[in-house]
Amino acid sequence: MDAVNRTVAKLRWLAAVLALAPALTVHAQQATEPAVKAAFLYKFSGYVEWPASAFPAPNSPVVIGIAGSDEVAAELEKLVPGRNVNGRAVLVRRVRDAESVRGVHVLFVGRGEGGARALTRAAHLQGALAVTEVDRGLELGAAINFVPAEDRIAFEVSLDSADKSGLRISSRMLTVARRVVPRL
Amino acid sequence: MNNSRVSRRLSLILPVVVVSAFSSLPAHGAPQRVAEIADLDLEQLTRITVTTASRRPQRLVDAPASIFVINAEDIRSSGATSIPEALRLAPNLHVARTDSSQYSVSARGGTTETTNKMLVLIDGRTIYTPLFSGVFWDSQDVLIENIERIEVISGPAATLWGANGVNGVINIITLPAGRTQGLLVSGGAGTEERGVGARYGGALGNTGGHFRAHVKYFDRDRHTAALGGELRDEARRAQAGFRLDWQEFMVLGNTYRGDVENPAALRETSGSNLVARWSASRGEGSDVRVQVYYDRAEREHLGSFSEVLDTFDVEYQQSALAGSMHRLIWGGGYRHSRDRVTNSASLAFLPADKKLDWSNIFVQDEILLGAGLRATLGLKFERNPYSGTEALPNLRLAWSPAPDHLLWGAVSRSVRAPSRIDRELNAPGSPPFVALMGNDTFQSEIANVVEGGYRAQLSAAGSLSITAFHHDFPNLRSISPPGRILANGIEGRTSGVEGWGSYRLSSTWRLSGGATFMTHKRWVKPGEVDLGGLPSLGNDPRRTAQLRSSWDLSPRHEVDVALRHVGALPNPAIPAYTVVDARAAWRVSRSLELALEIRNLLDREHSEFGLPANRAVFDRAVFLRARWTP
Repeated sequence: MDAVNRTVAKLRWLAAVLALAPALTVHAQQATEPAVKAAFLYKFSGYVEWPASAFPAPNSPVVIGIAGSDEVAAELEKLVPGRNVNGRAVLVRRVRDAESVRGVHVLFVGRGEGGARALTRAAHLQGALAVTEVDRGLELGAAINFVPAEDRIAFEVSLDSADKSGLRISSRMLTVARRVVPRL
Repeated sequence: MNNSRVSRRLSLILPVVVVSAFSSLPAHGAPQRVAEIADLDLEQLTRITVTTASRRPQRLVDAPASIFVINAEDIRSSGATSIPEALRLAPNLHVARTDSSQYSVSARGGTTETTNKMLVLIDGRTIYTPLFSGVFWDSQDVLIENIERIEVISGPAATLWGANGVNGVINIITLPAGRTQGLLVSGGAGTEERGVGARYGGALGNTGGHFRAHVKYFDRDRHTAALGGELRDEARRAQAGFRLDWQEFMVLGNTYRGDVENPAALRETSGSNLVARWSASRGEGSDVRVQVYYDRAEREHLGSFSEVLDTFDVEYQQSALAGSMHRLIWGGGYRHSRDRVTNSASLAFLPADKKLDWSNIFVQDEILLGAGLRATLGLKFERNPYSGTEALPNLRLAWSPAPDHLLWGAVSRSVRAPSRIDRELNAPGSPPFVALMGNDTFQSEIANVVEGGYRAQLSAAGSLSITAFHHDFPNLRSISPPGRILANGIEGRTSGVEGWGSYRLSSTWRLSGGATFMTHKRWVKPGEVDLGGLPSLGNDPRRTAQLRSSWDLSPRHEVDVALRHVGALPNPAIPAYTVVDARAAWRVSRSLELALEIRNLLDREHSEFGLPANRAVFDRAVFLRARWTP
């Protein structure tokens, strides 16, 4: 009887090891920059508080607008299906001009976009969180700007710009930010 | 500039320790892979290595040392309210609590009431006491929410950190002021402890700088004594501090006062410190850093002694790339202390008033040898007031067979320099000193250390580190004739293995764990006599282990469970114990989090450390906490 128990115990152990084995397989690849930025954009919306008026209904989706980066838009479109932010679905919309910022909650202005200043101004007016990826992006009016940090991606936050869009940014995001520009 | 001394050094020699944790995310976005990234939190996202950077060949991925990093999120989900409790998160440390506020914290053995082979820094300020080369944990504190991370190195790191980093270095780093803006209030009450802390941060006009200020207060109840009755170890402490950060300049200060209400030996501690640091990056690996600090620490142990310790410390460090192969770090430091002790009938430090000076210079070269191989050569000369100049050399080799795998090995000579207790302590307080007599021939305790390890990032979700080590101690402290003096009559050896890993089973569930196994052999050298020094060199468990589970039930609810096991301590004997800690947190709204924290959930009464008469018994403790960030 004792021997049986021991054998069963051994089998269980073996089963547990086998179950873990796929997890131990090595992946030595890395993420592409657009994929990481897309993940950031999705995550940011969980750390931002919009006024109730920003959503037509309590279950209206969060709309992430993308200008000037087809790569980030493509990654984000792959990412959002089936995901939600605080119970809201997430929609991706490609933005061409200031006019189409209406209804957008997070606006990403990629490096490929020439009219960054006009778009961030539109974001302020429409109550959207403006995110850029250029030098001095915060000075252009972005609330969040991606900055390279060696071979990783960091971001900086302007509470002043967030204020202009009427947004509140969680302190949890600020503890991760590389730099925080305070309210003026 | 926001990095402390050690962290800046870490960022140079041991880059990406912290950062390697999620560095191996798969590329070429198959949808499920992108999805995997999206399951990480913001902080983890900032750690992902992206493939676009052209500097990649120069990236020095992994740390050729046994390092564990405790991050802010781990501390939050552990419910720790003090530094030593947070240090329990490091599998390579043995954290042993004696009573409400006294702890012994050590890596690789040597745990005693006066653990003396660890170097501990808070924001670049060493919190070592020259009385016994250790830390008085009853007076060291920070606002827990201000901690950015704690880097724990087991094993010697003396070349860059200096003498005393024999068995390990603990480097506590707080957040820069710019990342602690606005108001935070955190506090709670429980069966053993009540506490409250608050901080407020804002901008410094238009200077681009930020400030924060914090206050913290706690009081803890007495415990049951191991020998029965009550220990009367109730304690309370108040602390306040500030920090100012500009682009290249940082100033911080703290002041504290606390006491332990024990009529047998009332203990009062107080102190203040001020740290200023200037650090500038000239690009391409060239950095300069100058730091100065002043620290005053006062303590009174009623009936045995009191002390006022003033310390002034200045240090300089520079780093540069030399060609494409060499990364050099060099620098030096000077520290002056004045230690004024009031002696008593039971013991006497002679002289009572002592001025102490330390100085050091060091250089380290990290050489890229190609084919994933790199070598680190370091040498430090440190002069201490007792044994003169000590050389602390260090050689490390690291080989990356693949980008996320590292094999490393190191040989080091490390030194625990004499302290006041080794040379100047006499007992009783007046002659004849029959119990202990000061001895000005006591020499440094040397450690010759060989270690090797393997570290890997196994897929995006898992990581692993394992290290084997052997420490040779040719001249440990003994109590020897003539009379009873402290001498170097004991030899010792410590060998063992330490390892840890973490694995994210799903986007909401993470498991982590670690263990240490080691043996300690210590013996009196041939021709020497020991009159009781052996038992005071370490009361260490042969094994420790921990397993932690962090589970987010929903975006608003999380449950954390930790199981930790410590093997039996030999002398004085303390039985092995296994304790389960649990925490349930509820994010009521964006600004309010409530948490119920239960230490020792199964109510296994146990003691962790100390002489039988001083030892507390710990049973189940419940704490209800609220954290508010309007």
